[in-house]
Amino acid sequence: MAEIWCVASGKGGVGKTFVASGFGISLAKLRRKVLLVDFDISGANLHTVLGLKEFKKSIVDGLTSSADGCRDMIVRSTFPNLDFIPGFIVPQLGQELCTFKVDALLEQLKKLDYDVIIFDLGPGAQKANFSLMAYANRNFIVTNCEPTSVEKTYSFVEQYVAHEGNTKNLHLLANFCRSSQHQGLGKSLESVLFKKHDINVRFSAAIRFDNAVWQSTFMSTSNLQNVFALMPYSEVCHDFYKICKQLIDPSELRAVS
Amino acid sequence: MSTDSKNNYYEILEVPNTATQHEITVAYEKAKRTYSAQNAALYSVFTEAEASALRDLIEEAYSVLSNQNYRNIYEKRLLSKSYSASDLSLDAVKKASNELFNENSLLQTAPVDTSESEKPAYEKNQALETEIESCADWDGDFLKKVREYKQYSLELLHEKTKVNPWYLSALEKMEPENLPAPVFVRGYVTQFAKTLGLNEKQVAESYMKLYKSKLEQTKTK
Repeated sequence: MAEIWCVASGKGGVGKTFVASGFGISLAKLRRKVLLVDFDISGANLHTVLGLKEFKKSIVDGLTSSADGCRDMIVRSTFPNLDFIPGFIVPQLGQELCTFKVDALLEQLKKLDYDVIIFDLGPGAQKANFSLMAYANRNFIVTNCEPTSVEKTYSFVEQYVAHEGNTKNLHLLANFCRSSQHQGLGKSLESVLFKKHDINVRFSAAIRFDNAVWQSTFMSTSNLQNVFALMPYSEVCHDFYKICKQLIDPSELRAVS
Repeated sequence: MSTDSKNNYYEILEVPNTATQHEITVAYEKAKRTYSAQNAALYSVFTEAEASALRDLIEEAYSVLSNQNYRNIYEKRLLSKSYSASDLSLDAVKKASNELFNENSLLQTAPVDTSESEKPAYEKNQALETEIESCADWDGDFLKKVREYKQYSLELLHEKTKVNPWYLSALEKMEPENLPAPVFVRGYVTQFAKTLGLNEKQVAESYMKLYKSKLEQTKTK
């Protein structure tokens, strides 16, 4: 049975797509079969991160066509064990389609032989996002360490609770961390959410800012400008690897990670 | 502050009530960092006043839970559920702990030693006083005479000088075989003289001269 993970955020530009692809690649390295789905209704980004310039079929086909259309949309990435479904090239279709067909799509995807299915969602507290998050085993909310991002993260969580009524599977990720206080931001958010709203967050982690990420986008010799392919031993890649190990098999995590 | 609400000290520090002392300290440090004024995590959720109130609560919670005695009292009261909110506060717990300590206290009040500063009274004998002042050759017998004149028993002198009474009597009898090395003997004589109100330097020097000759006599025997 596949686990479903969703990557959401209160604000745009915090690094959802990067985090989703990071998880996908790290899990694939840990020999899990992973399917990444670009579900950002404001526009498709995932294919860029995974080095694909053009594609014929996308998630749109999965939502509109009949039962068997699913397999055609899936693209094999250059990373072993990792496949993905490209997203909405034409943004306005997303809003109308997804509210009707999400159940059917999920049924289809679960029949396929994947260990983890990761949905890269769009920014903000949108109904489309909430409907997917309701199905997920793990919901990741990505935030930055600035007050604006934090503010919107709280707003997102509050709206999510108002919509869903529960917050069982929330995981918080603080991205672009540049100091020890940033590293502790996840835990601080957990504490504040507990004290103010009695919300229990299941997990929190920090991903550090690493120059390797923007540097890899300048390595123009490669079509794929992904830090995980070009600089896989950088610190940010290590952060992802560590987080994935903690999530999928905590007992395997040794004292020195 | 009710017993069930989030203002219970364990909930404030976000630890279970089975937490060890170390875990409580770690949680306290973390909570202090989280609710410090500059933390971005507080933005849009807590005002500065609320954050300050939370910091005070955290301090209070830690003062009770970090102290094993206070923690035991607090936990007992919390579990019995028959205590009001004010009985669970830091002050109430402190007070209860003090009362418990006084009841169980094994401390006896130490008896005040009134004899410390008192000197024995003696009748002044003017002739003897002049003799004391003029004396340049102090030997054991004369020391004994002055001691008895000043109404000091060997016991009392021992108490005052802290010198072994055996040594004190050997000093008076000038018996080198019953005394330690000359450097100690000199010290004892100094103490002896000082306690009796004599000029210790003069006494010690003259005594040691006589003592050293006696020491050589016993060596050559």
